[in-house]
Amino acid sequence: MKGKVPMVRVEGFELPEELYYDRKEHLWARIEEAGVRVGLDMFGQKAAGTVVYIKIMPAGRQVRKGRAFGSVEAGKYVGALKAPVNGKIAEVNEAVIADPGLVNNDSYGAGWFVVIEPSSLEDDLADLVHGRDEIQSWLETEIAEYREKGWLE
Amino acid sequence: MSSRGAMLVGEGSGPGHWSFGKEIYFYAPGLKRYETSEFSQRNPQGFVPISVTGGDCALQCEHCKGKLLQWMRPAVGKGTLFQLCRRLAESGTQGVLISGGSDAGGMVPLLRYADELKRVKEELGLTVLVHTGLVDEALARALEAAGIDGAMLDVIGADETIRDVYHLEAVVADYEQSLALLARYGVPTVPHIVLGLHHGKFLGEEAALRLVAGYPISALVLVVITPMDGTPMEGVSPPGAGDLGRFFERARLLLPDTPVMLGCARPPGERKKAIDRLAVDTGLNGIAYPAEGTVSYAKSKGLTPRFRETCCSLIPS
Repeated sequence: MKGKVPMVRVEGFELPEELYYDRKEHLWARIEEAGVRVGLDMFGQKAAGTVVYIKIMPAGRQVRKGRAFGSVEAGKYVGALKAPVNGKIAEVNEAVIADPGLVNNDSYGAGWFVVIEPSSLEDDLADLVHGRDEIQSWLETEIAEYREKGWLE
Repeated sequence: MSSRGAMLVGEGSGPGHWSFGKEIYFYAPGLKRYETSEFSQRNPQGFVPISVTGGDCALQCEHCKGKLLQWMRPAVGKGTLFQLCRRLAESGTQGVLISGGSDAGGMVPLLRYADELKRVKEELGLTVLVHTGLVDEALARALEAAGIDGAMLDVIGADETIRDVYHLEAVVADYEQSLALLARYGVPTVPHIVLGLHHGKFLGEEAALRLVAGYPISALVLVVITPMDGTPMEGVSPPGAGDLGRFFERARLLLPDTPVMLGCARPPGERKKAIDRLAVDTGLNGIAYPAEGTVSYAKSKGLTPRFRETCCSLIPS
């Protein structure tokens, strides 16, 4: 994927321009025909450290924006994975459950978590970060804040 | 007596008595960001780990290879420790865990920071815990003078493990000497025992337990070997639940009046959940970063949960 799509690059962090991002959780959302594919962005996975365990609700479950659809354990983070949109889980990435390291090694590719069949997509996208300038500004702010808090090396 | 106490009385073996009430403590220090539905940090910077060697460690132990140091804030060089602690204190940090890699002799080079440790306590008023590695008399004296709140060291009970896993030319007696020196100088001491340290197998754990039980320790912290990617132990299997439960119980019975905690390190996921339940069942006093559901489980056993955003080595008064 790298090199094939335009990226926003700040201090070594690369975020594809085409994606939408949850401001706090650093989950990316890609709008596809089948639904909204969700994963952890490069900044989020670097700040979390090595991901060692992932738990995800089964396909068919309804999820609400901002509520957990799973959980993650990593070297520097233990917590929930929160849905960026409302809807139903259409697909779960069993490969990433079996090999959580995919999140660190291929965060925009094989390391995705779920595909959500959205129920209110237009509304839900409104507060997600999108577009080169917005992503760049947000990412710069996040880097500064995480550095200040000691959450980034 | 709580239901978990009843389990310990068992068939009449062991002391059949322990002296703690119905409280259990859950800890989430700032070593990692932590959030579950039952317990979330309010101030992830409340308790901060610092490495006085940055990412450097001369031992390069089989289970770690210095990787744990990467998660700590570096403070290397004269004056940097105090400066970092002052900045942290100004931004709301209440305590620090001062750690670092070991030198070739198995000691964390804290002695060169002795003056700064004292200033951090006296001028900033931070709670200070230190990882010592092995301890000599000069360091024990310096830690006493600095007035630190706790000294932590992994105690190993098998010479083979010290040699093969830690790559250290030392023996069990050197750990005993460290405990003795800390006791002699009145330094609050919280030894850790890593269960399954010998490539996932139990080897010196029982000996380590008997060793620490012979000294006036503030608490004992048990952790479980957690295979890390990029280390020679990445493929080992941690000890099973049965062995861990028996060891927890043994520790509880041997230290009926000393807090015994389940520390940060243990395998993730369902294993973690099972281990945490064993800790509750066997009467351990505290659990760091509890798995989702552990707090509810403790409540179901009649225990009252208490939450702290510090290291579990800090014993609530």
